[in-house]
Amino acid sequence: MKITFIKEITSQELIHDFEKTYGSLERLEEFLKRNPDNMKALVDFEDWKYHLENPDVIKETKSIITHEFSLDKLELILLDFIKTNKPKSIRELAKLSHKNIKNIHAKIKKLEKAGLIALIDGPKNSKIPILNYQKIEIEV
Amino acid sequence: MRQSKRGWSIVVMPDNLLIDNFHHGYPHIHPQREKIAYDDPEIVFQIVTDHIQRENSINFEKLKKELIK
Repeated sequence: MKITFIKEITSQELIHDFEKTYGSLERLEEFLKRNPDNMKALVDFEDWKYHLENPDVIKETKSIITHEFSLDKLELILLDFIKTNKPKSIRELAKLSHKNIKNIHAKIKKLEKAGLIALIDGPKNSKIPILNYQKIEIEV
Repeated sequence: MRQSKRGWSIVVMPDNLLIDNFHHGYPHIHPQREKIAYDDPEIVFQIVTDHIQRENSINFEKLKKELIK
């Protein structure tokens, strides 16, 4: 099974992702010196330098080939709710979807672990669920 | 795969396979930078992922033949 994740991001968001992954451009350069065969690091390094100078919109597509990916009905409903209703917290998501917060919490953690959503800090220790991708394609 | 005005790149990890159209003005496969037969990154991406699905891994020489023709 092939799962493809697609998102469009700005140069600023791409650089923010790089900072989270590598720390700084200098650290990435050091990493690349130690690992010259790492093609992902090489492409990220060149893109980082380019997008600092040339703001743009970037389309990122990531595919994984796996037999272990599954989404149940509730998880799909939650993804849809996050996309369309943009809840401000997991509690609000539970309320909007008329589901038990405990069940929702476990599902949200699974979706976060799978990389489909991210949880960003909201007010009063709440976590705001956001989609990491605009499109997910499943190909058998 | 990453696409922008700069061009496009496809990286397969952990195989460290890179196909892109940067610097040389034509799409190529590393490390020898051999020219491939397709300009459209979506087609290249499909060929690469179909190859991985079929072979269960990257068979570099076989994939190169599929891309260079």
